[in-house]
Amino acid sequence: MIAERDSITQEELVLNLGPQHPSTHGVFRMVLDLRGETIVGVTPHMGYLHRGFEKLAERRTAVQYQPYPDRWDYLAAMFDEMAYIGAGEALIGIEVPPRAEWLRGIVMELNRLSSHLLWLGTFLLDVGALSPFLYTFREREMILDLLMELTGARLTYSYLRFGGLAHDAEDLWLKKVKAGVRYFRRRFREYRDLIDENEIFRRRVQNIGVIDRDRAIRYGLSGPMARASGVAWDLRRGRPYGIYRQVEVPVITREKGDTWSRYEVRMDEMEASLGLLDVFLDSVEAGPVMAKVPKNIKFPDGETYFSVEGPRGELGVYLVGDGTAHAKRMKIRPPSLFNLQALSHLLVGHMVSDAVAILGSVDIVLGEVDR
Amino acid sequence: MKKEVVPVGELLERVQDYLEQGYTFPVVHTAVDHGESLELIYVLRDLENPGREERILSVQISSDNPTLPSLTPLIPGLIFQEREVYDLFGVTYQGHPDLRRLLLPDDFSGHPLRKHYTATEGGIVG
Repeated sequence: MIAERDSITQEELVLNLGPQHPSTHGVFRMVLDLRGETIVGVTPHMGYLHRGFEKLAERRTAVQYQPYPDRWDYLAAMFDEMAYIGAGEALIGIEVPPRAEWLRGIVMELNRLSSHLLWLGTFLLDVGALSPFLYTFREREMILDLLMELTGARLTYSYLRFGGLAHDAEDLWLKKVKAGVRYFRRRFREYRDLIDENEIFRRRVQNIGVIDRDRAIRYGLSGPMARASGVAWDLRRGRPYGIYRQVEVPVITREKGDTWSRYEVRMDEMEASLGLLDVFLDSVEAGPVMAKVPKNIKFPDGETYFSVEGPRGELGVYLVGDGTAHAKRMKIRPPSLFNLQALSHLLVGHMVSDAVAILGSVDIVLGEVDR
Repeated sequence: MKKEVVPVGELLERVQDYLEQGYTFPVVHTAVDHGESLELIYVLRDLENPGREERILSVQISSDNPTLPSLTPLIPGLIFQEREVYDLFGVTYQGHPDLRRLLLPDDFSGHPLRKHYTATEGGIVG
């Protein structure tokens, strides 16, 4: 009997996880080398959702390309739009009217909430907690309803334009958002009560998947992944853009760098987003939402890098123009792809069941990883 | 945006310098196809000092048989970015620990982000 057990623990087993697996959050595939139940090696495979968005940007004109960024990270499309439109505006030199900037802030923070809510539900589902999923999806649907009322779409909004927004928001809609913020605040207390002190959850995430500060920086981690390891960096504070130049954004950090810290950072970020929404809703001023821009947008000679703090980290666009309506080159910096670089460091030495919890805490979206 | 043009022979040395000065965060790495030459872009940031601007390095290499040293041994956060540029532009990085295609299938032929690329080259018909 003992001899048999030894042979099981010593034999190396290759386990393929994904691309069709509910815990990989999309079409992500990783090959785990196991000794017993312990992970000794990880090989990630991506590209199953590659649609060539960077090439498409060279084949479409600037205006034609406007709906495409929504499809990069379909859970946080407003940030993709902001990154692309913002890069174009920086290259061309377009000034955006103040009301458009305020409204961009509002839709982005709403989108951050909806993205984090989806992460929260599925992450807890991964570690075996079923009910929070139902709660977070209820609230997420309310946010999507608000965004749908404004833009006509639940996920792929196409709301931002070079120079402003597609159309103005009505006062009634802003009132609804305000009421929504009050409602969500109550709900968040409910989430914390439901999840924080849960013994099973704590044991499954505390001290699991630790990455230290120095490594987090050298691996290029950003967003909640980096802030959970003590990197006090938020682009909304460090490289403010749009309306974030006028408001004070709290940078939420934790020191430990484990899965629990990443959970805490995202939970606090949601509350910070509610605080920002309050400020935005109180400060939004009347006025036009579109600057005067030519109908046929052309990218001048030159290049620029513009990045926004998305729910997953630094989402950047490196844009090269050559005087035509087409981009000469448009490169997307996808935060999830950089965050995945730390995956084997996070997983090796842990159990298979931890792999699912750790991957959940990285919060990847394959539309963005593969582009 | 201020670019700093670096000859390919001095790249490793220059990057090593910047790493020692604190520019340790890899922001982005990519290539631009200029026809005759390929331009490789590296953006590095110092996260400790937000007041310092990003360093943007630009390296020009010949576009036929493009080769340059890999920075992954110095900056582990470039491992996927270099694989991506290899995949989509066909740039070979010397000293990269795991130079395979990142997004496209292993049996794909051609490098789609090169300007002369046509879809038939990659086996895509129609």
